[in-house]
Amino acid sequence: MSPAENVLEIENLNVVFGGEDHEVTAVESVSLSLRAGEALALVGESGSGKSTVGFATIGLLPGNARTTGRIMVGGTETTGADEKAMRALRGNEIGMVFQEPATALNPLRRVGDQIAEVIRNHREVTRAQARAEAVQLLERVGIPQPQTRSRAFPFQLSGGQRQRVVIAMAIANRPRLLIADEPTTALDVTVQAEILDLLRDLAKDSGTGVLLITHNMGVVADFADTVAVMHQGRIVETGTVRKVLTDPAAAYTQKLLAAVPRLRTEASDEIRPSKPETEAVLSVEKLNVVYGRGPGAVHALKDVSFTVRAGQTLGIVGESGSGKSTAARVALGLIKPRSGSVELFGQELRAGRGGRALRAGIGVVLQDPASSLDPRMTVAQAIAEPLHIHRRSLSRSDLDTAVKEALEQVNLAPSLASRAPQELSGGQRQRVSLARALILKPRLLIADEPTSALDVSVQQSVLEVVAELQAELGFACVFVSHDLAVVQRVAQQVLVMRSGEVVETGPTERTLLYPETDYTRRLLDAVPVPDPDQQKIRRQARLTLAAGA
Amino acid sequence: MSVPIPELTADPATRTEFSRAVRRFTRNRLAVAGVIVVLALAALSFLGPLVHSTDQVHTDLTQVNLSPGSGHPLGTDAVGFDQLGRLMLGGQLSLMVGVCAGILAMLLGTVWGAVAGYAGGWVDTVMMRIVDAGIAIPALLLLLIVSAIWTPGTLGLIVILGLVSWLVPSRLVRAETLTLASRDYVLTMRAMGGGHTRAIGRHILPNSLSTIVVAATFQIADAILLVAYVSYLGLGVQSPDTDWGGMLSQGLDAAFSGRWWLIAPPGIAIILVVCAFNAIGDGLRDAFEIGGRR
Repeated sequence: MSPAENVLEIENLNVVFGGEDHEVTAVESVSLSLRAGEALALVGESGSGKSTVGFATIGLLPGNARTTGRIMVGGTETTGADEKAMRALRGNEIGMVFQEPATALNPLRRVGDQIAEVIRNHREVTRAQARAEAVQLLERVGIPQPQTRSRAFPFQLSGGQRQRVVIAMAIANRPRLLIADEPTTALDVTVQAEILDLLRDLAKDSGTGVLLITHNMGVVADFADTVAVMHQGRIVETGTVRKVLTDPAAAYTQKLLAAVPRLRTEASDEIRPSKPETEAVLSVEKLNVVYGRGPGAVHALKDVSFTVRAGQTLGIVGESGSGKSTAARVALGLIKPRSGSVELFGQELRAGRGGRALRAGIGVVLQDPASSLDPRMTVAQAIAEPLHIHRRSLSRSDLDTAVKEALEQVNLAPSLASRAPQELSGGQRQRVSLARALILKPRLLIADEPTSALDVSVQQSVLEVVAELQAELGFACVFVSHDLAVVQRVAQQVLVMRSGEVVETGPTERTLLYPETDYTRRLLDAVPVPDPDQQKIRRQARLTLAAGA
Repeated sequence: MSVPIPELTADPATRTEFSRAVRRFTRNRLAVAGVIVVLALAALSFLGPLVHSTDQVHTDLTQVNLSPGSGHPLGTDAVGFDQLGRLMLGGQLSLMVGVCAGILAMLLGTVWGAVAGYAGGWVDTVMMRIVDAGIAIPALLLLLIVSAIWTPGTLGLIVILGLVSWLVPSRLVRAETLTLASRDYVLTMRAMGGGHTRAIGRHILPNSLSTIVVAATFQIADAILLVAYVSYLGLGVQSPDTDWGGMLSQGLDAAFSGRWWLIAPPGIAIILVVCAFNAIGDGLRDAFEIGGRR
């Protein structure tokens, strides 16, 4: 096949970044090709170099990067091309969709004008023509009332709609190549499914080649024709999506796929022994949280009640804005509810001294590994902090022993104790958070999206550590997550939330397999599974359901 | 099934964060020059009199308005004080008042801003409206009114300058506190039973240290300039004590009679020290902020 038929041809690409102390090779001998109308997925974990390949293709690498090799977009070489030639390509031959739709748009300009600007940058059309075309594009990406919506500012649109606008901008000049870098990572699953459907239709209609950069195997199975798996800057495996996802050859791909949490859609054969009803560790009753007053007030929680029992895990799931984190924070006493009660270990949770002693029994792990540890404290100081709060009489050597034991519990080397958090990887940091949460042997662990920012293989190891320690120490756990597959794995009870209300609750085994409400069913149906054949069936079922509704 | 947890063989930390910060600071040539200039001027002012001792108390009318030359490297002024000796004496006051007033302003601003930012709600509103009101009144005007009523000594000058210049730093620290107080590590600590003292003392203040130190260097430069303003207008310390601003003011009469040595040395000293502190501030910002701490 001649290169001219390929919209993208990368040959032996190497990218080296000059750092403060030394050079880092980000991409090493990467070769790829993408045909018109097809979708190539570049998958890998963070730091694998997948985004760097995307940025190299459009010539937007930072100044300290050195590139060798050849990149051809539709027969034009982009490596070594000057800035002017690249500008002519960007937005015209190549469209880009980035991860975060909120920052990809100018907040001060109407979306229609922003699309029109992209058109007028590359084509000689009048302002009015560009505007009219922008409205057509908005209609094409599925925005209702495109005429009115083109006058909207980005903040007036939802996250999914904003991403549709970004896509409209990317396809405005019918590019031959569309680079989508984690286009759905910041979106809820139901919105993710819609955006992927949209991208698929657009690519099919116009013959655009799509380079999809993602870490999500489910998205790959749903969307791509071919896959290239990247690891430490190199491509370890390429092939059709079916071959790579169902019969991976490279050891790394096998490991990666094994770590992906899969949403089970059928009851498992393994029968979980039903545990005896244990004592309630945390029970909240009719919680209401309202922000603001008057007609503009936002009901963050409406009559939310739940109970967590010793040794059990309650998973709280829901889309962004559903109130799942708020519920966890009320239980922690960080947010005061307007009404309702929080009972911890059989006692009402109050502020002040009494409440503080009660809190010795709570462990907390929050989402963001970058901010969960104080950058000015060493690992040992961070882990020892709860001891400083609640066990002031401990001697120096007792503290050291406790910290060492805590590190061992979460499978970290004791030598890490003297390190600063910024020297650790994301997974290590979350395990340090976990060690800190568990050092007082709490009776309740509250984890708010503890693994969402982590790569799948790291997520797996963190989840395993939590499960082991729970079996050993018998604490109750509240596990907040947007990832249904993860919750299905860790939780015995599940609470599905939407707009501050509990939609459905029950044993995970029942609720996530045979949901009683449409909302839960839609949520489950939208989760892409990392198996292309199964995913195709799921997609059809979802679309039929949507068409019928 | 289980994936083996990767062995943790993080690379040996060859350089500590501190030495890396020092390296980033020294890479900023201007900042290094700033440190050298400040040290040199401080040495001149405080150690200089040991080498070049002069009488800065008694006037000597036989030695007035001598041009630079033997015995008086920078000449003498209209009442016979040795100009180099005077530059040293003035430097002591300018530097000391500037540094102390800058630090005092920073301390006041830090406490005020941290309390306002952490407490939030109406406490924050009231405290910050006070700051707004204070900023609305020009500092120089306040200074002039105060010095017209009362002739301050060195300590007085430090206190007054500190009191008029803590407002801007307090806003900075409040903003920093607001973001830090909502960081996950502070929330985690509070949820696990930690108190407010620990939140502010152990987490918020240490993490705002970079902001505070950088702002302090700019505050010092500002304070040195303020001292010079006030003295230039004849409202600073009283003769025979002096500072660089006061020397400028007294030398002004001589400006048109060709006695440049009365104006140039203090003028250059003020410009140098203010630029130097600003450069140090820039360098400290590099040292603190590129480190990936935040």
